[in-house]
Amino acid sequence: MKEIALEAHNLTVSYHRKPVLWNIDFKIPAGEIIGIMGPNGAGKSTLLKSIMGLVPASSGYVRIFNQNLKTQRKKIAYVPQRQSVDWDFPARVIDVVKMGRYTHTGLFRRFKPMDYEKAKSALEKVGMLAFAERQIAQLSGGQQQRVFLARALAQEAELYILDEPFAGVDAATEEALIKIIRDLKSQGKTMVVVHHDLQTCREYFSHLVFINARLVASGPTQEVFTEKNLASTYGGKLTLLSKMAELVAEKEFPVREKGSSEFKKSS
Amino acid sequence: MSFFEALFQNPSVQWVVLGTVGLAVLGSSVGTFNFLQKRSLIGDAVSHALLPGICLAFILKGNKDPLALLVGAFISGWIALLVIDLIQSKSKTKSDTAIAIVLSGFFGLGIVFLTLIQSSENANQAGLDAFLFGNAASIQKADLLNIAMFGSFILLSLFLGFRAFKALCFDKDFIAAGGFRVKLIQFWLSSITVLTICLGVQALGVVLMAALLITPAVAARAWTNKLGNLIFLSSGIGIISGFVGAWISYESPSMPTGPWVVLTASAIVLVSLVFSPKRGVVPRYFRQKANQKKIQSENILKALFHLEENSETASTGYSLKDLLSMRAFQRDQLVGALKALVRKNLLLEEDGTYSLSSLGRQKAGKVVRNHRLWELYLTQYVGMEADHVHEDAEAMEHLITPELEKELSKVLNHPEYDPHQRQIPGKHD
Ligand SMILES: Nc1ncnc2c1ncn2[C@@H]1O[C@H](COP(=O)(O)OP(=O)(O)O)[C@@H](O)[C@H]1O
Ligand SMILES: [Mg+2]
Repeated sequence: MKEIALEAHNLTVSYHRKPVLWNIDFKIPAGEIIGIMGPNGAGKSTLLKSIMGLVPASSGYVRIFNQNLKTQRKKIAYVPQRQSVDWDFPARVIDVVKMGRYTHTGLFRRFKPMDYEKAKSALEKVGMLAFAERQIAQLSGGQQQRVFLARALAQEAELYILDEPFAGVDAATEEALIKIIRDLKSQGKTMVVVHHDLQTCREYFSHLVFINARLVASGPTQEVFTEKNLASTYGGKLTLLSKMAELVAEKEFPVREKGSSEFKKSS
Repeated sequence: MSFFEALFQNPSVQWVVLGTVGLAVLGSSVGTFNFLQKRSLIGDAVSHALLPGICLAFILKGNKDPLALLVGAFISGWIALLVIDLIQSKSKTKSDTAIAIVLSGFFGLGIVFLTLIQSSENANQAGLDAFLFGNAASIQKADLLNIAMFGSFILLSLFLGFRAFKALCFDKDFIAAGGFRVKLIQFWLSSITVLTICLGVQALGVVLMAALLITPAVAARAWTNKLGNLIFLSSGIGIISGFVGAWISYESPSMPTGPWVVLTASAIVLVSLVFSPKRGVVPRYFRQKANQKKIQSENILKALFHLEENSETASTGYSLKDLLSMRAFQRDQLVGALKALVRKNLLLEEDGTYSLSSLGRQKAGKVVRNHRLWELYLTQYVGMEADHVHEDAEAMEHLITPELEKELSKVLNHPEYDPHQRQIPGKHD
């Protein structure tokens, strides 16, 4: 089998003790474009945040290129959902893209000419070089998304994790973005993309991960893009699961009993 | 002696002015980051929460040693911050509620301590209540030294941490994902915030120090879009406010400094929110007025265009009544607007009838073209019914720029007819 870029092992994630992801367990091969699909509120963003260590896992773990996340941070570029930041912030486009260089320069060292060059060439790749000096408050939704992708490009990572890059962007931007994503793939990078459009997902992704609070299916697109998987991902809310989650929060039960995971491994 | 003479001759006036201005610079520059982080209320809570720490430090030390009070205040402020975070993360309490609880709880405790101290008739306690309202006139050389020393540390922190703080305020998740210690950066920013408030609270008082953290930043934000400029401008507004406050309270000694500092800053906010070109209310009013005028004159041109389109024979002109039959114009407004259009050579007038000049016809054609292109776009691409698109196009026709018009025409494959089978005027290139 191919090298594994990302592995989630029995991942359970909770907010205020209420689990929103249950036992997520999948592996993602390197050098592919992988789609993460699921309805609104399925926990896709939470999954990405948990992969990046932004929200702690109640149980389970994540491994990147078969290593601990800590040692691999420089190799991952994370593109949060566009709406997660305030675009009225006083900054220029180039300032945002330069943040992508921080993993190389650190927060205190001066930028070298090379860092500027890389930020600029990232902007050029997304077709936004002419906007470098613009205030980000003046950008359209599609342009904001391009800037976010440029920031990730400036990071020069191996694994790219994008949260809904196609949400609310114009057709031209979607086309430009998917082209860049394919280019990166052809350079051997691994692209993980949260997506919600069932129409295009077979065309975009070679692998799919379906989640809806729990893992529905993961694997090569032609194997897992089935009527049945779609139905259990999108077909109605999982009332029992969400009832259980509320119960866990209400009764202040732990989501895992101590020692149970070690037990499972040996059994 | 006038204020300016005193400023050059009297050292105690110099201390007061330097101290107030220095505090204003610190408050406004540190405050800019709190403002950008949308943590404006935190400053308010922290400054109220200093009181119990100050009182305890006084009780333990037995006198008003500035450094001891500063340490007490700092610890108390930090505990308040931690409690706010704790309440938020451990219970589902919203942040504004958590802040309100801590603010009033700590302040209440402080008032209890203060009353205890005052009833113990300690000879040294005089002036401890300055922490409530501030007493800038009491700034001594030792206070100034503290402000200078800790102030340089704060400004240096801001300078060195600029990139980190900027990234923290804009996109915390992103730098956390990059492996940076977000908690440490936040701790650092919070610490210099608490320190700034501690430094200022004796001279300016609890409430006013908190205001100084936010008000200049809000005013500055109305004028600039660059973070660097924002900090400098906000500091500048802080300096002016500090200076004016010190001046007024020198001229009439019964006037307190702190409130005047903040009143000045608030006045600047007011002026900024009213007049700043991008965000001001007045410029926006004029922009809207101009838009309305544009919409109205375009509607008149369009009405004449339609009249021409509908009539079989070439007519010499149309009366006011014809125009009113096309659209519910307001009669007196219409008359004025028609005159303006004639002045601009867009219309020709003859015996009270109006017709389009060739320039006017060109302009009207563009509006009608925008309207019909947009209708077509809505039916073909958005999937709206042909009888539902008119209203929307009525508004959009005035807004569509020439670039957008080109793009529309291109995606629609340079159409000749709109969904109602009316010809789309203008070039078909
Ligand atoms: N910070 C948070 N605190 C509490 N609940 C949250 C938080 N973020 C998300 N949730 C909840 O977790 C669930 C999953 O959210 P999310 O991961 O954003 O879903 P998706 O990205 O698939 O739309 C939702 O029910 C949402 O309400
Ligand atoms: Mg999401």
